[in-house]
Formats: sequence, structure tokens, C-alpha cells
Amino acid sequence: MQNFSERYKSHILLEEIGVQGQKRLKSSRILIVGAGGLGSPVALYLAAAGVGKIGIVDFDNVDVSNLQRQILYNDNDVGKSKTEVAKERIEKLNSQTKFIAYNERLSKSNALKILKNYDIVVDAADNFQTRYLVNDACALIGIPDVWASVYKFEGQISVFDAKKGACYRCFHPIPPKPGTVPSCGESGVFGAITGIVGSMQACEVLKVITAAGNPLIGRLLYFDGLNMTAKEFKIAKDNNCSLCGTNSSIKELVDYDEFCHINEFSENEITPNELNVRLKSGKNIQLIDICEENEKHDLNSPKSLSVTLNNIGFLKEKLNPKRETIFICKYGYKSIYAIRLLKELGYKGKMCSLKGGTNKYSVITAG
Amino acid sequence: MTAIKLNGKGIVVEDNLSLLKLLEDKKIIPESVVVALNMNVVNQTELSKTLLSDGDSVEILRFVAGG
Repeated sequence: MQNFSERYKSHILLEEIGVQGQKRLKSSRILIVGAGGLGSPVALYLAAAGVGKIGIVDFDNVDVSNLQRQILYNDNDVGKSKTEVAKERIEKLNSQTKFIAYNERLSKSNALKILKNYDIVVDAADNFQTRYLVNDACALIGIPDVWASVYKFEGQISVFDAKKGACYRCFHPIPPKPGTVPSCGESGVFGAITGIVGSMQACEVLKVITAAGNPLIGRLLYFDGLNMTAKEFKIAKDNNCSLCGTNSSIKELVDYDEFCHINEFSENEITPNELNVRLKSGKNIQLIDICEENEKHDLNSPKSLSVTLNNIGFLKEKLNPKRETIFICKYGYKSIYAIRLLKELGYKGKMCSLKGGTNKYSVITAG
Repeated sequence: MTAIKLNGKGIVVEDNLSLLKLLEDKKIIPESVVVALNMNVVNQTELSKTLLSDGDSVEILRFVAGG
């Protein structure tokens, strides 16, 4: 067995940590939700710091495009289960850390069962449904949610501890509708940003365990890596919060897909094959490409009109309600949002959205 | 007219403009952002009631879930 005081000498020298703090780290249990860009540095730093038990939840396999930022993995891991690779890597880094791999999607049905075995949860997920789920489960159990998210060159970090301050719902009670917020997959993310922000999350976890310094409870740190600046904002606890307010209505986990409108308008979705059939049949369809400025999704279709979500209103007059309209976009979210907007404007014609977007379409039609 | 700072840049807006109206004028979907007034995050349910005054500093951040 390695010598405890030798291995953690640099921690023990710190007045704020000391032998007592290091022992606390050893007896602490931390769950990381998401083994991606943020989860990677969090897991590595927590294991190196001597955290006694680390769990990771993720159902994904390593993709070659992950390697640009997800530093738990290397070239040989492509195709392997993320949690299995993470387990091997973490156990090699610190044999004293007990590592539990949950190779599954965190859901309403397993969240409380998993989370109740931990003292702190790190939210390193990549979608809003999981983030609201993690927040609610943490508040119901009474443990802190060390949260961060990244976008391009930016990061945002906070500690949501409903016992002591704001929770994620106090911060943002109404989730965005699919298509209104770009994902990392759509907009890109600078690899080193996930390293910086994930390390900040690890820092907050270690501070909370050892009671060192001031954790980011009730505060949002916004980090802009492109200009290397940071700003701090206060987040007030919301007395009317549906989860942690005085008259809270949420007493158990809810349906997070429904809360985040994930399956709304799914009856309007068509598969890439169905789109192909329609395109080849020469049917008189109206094809609308929902894109960002300077972006166009080529379906090799001669007639598609490119429109941004911001100026979609004019379509209400331009489209012929007697003909079917098919909306396409890169991932199939903005196109659903376009249907929602036009319905709200009172457009009555038949509308469909390409499921999975042109991204999926190009893979299927190429193969 | 009311002079405010929006993400660090000075702009002039009409008097008694609410934060919600400011977002609408900028064609920003309220649920897709975090709005802070003078370094305090404004609850989404308060955006329509929060009116801008001279010298206010407004920051609009994207609300994102990337990990």
C-alpha cells in the first residue's frame, strides 16, 4: 500500500485541506453524469485527488470525434464502452479509488436508486432532460449538484445545492424548446474549454468535500475562453420554485422528455426513406431548409428554399396549404420548431420534419 | 430614452422597456438565454415585469447544455 501522506503531500501541505481534508476525500463518494468532454477531466482530477469512490453514468461508446476533447480516451478506445474504458483508466491512475461504471442512460426510473449512494453529483451531461433530472434527484435526496455546461469557447459553472441556495430550476425554470438552442454537435466546442471548465467542476467538488473556500452556491461563473475573461452573476433562490420553493409542487421525479418537449410533434416526423420516396415520386412537395446564416443543407434536391428560424413568419403567406411542406435541418430539431412556430401563426397546411436531420439522411442515402 | 449597457456595449432603448420586450426586439427566444441585470440572474417569470433604467447593465448569455 502506498504511503498516504507521501502520495497526497501537496494537498496535505495546504492549510485548507491538511490531513483531515485528505481523509475526507478518501471517504467521499462522487457520481459523474456523462463521461464526455467535462466528465473526463472531472474523473481524472477526482481520482488523482484521492476521492474514495467515483461512479460514472454514460451509455455511449467512444467515437473518433470525441478524442479532440474527451481526454479519458485514446485512439485504441474507439468503439468501446466509455464507462468501461474510464474504469480501466481511473483504476490505473489511482488503485485506491473504487470505481463504479453505470453503462446505462440516467432516467426517471434509475436516478434515485443510483444517486442515493453518493454525496455529490457532477452534472456533465449533454442535454437538458438529463440536467433537469439530475437537479431534481439531487434536491429530493438533499445532495449538491455541481453543474457546468460548455458552448464553443464558453463555459458556465455553478453549484446547485437546494439546501443552501438556488437549484437549477431557480436558475432556469422554463426549459428551451428543441431547436432553439444549438448543441455542441451542431455548433462545435473548443477542446481545451471542456478541460478548463471540467477542472473547475472538479475544483468545486473537492472544495465542497473539504469545506475549503467559497463554493459557487447561488453564483454563476461565466467563462469566455476566446477573450480569456470571466464574469460572476448572482442566482437568487426562488421562493416560488416548483422544486425547492416554499410551496413546491414537485415531490418526485417527473417525465423529463415531456417537460423538455422532446417528443412533441413526433407524429409530424418522417424518416429519411420516406423523404426519399416523396422526392423520387415527383410529388408536388414544398421543401424548406431551416438553416443558420451562411449555411445550407444539400439534399441534392433541385428545389429547396433556405430560411432561418428568425424570419420564418413570411412562409405563412408564401406556402401553399394544399401542398405538403417538408422541413429539413441538420439534426431534426430546428425543423420541428419551425412546425411549431407556423402552427402558432395559424398556418393550416400539412407539415413534416425530417427525423434525425440531414446529418442522418446523408449517412443513410450514401449507404 | 434610456441608456443601458448590453453585453458591455452602450445602447439607447425606449423608456420603461421590459427585459422581455428587449429580447423580443432582438429576436431572441426567452427560454434559450439567461438574462442578468446588474450581475443578478433574472428569473424567467420576472422578465416581463423587470423594466430598464438609465445605467443598467444587461448581460444575455446563451442557455446551453453541452458537456
